[in-house]
Amino acid sequence: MWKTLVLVFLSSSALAHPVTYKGGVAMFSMHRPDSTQLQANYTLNRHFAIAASHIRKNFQHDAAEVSLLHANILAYRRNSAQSQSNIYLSVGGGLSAQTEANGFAAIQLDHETDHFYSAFSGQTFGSLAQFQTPSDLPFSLRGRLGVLPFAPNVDGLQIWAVVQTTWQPHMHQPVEITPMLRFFYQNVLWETGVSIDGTPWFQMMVHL
Amino acid sequence: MLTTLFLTSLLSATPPSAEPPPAPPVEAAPKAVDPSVVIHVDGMVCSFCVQGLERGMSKLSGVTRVALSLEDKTIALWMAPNKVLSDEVLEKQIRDSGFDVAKILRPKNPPDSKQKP
Repeated sequence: MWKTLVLVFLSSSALAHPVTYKGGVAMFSMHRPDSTQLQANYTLNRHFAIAASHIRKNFQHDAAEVSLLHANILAYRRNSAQSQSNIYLSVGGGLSAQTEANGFAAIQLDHETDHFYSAFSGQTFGSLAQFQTPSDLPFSLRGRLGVLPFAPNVDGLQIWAVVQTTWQPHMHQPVEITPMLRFFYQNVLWETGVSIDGTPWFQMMVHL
Repeated sequence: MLTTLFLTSLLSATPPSAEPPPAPPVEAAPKAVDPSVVIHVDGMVCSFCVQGLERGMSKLSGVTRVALSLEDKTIALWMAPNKVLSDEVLEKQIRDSGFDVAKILRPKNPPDSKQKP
């Protein structure tokens, strides 16, 4: 059960840029000292993308792994002159290394301007048996706030300051706060930071 | 007498023509060609937005150059001679990229292109 909880925590980052543009391919990876997540998604149209993820978490004597296929849906988007707001849904399933069938569901809300970024997401991950009784499903919530202190420059490097907070009530350490820097350079985004308890974080995304 | 000699020497030092030769005409710097279309886009807020839009617009038939401004939220398109893209085509491409068109401006006399009828 506790391994499942960890995977819920890790899967919460799978929602970054779930739908891009028609025909767009995005590659994503996230790395922590004891875990790795890889994801590729392909956007079929402005509302729908398909994605594949693989998550691995190393423990002292073994590891938990799961591979997922999921559908990402842009349920709502509001474009205005200076901002964009989105609601994304993601559902999917896959097999863990122990060939156990698992399900995954998530929601993400975000709002972004030239200089301000906010996102909130909630996700659950569990075996199909757990989905029969939703009250047993482990879940996690994540919030992010970011600011770009300088003028946006399309061709140059952009550096955002971001604070991420993750809450997973079932975990031994339910709250993790991670200040990080987010770098944008053309079609590449990468983020790096260290949580308050000292765990480093690195993730990267490329739009092909 | 001395004054007369001094004035004479001054006058003799003066060149026959006091006016400098006319400067050769300076060629005007080549004027930057205005874009054929300028589109104001809603929702363009990040580098990824710009990348996606730029790729999509570059694929449109007849587009020779694309320039995006994240600050102004605009896409400028330069078209090949005698090529025109309708508003509908532009709007569809931008919507497929996940954004919305605020307005489309076309210069009155875009170089090397025909106005939309």
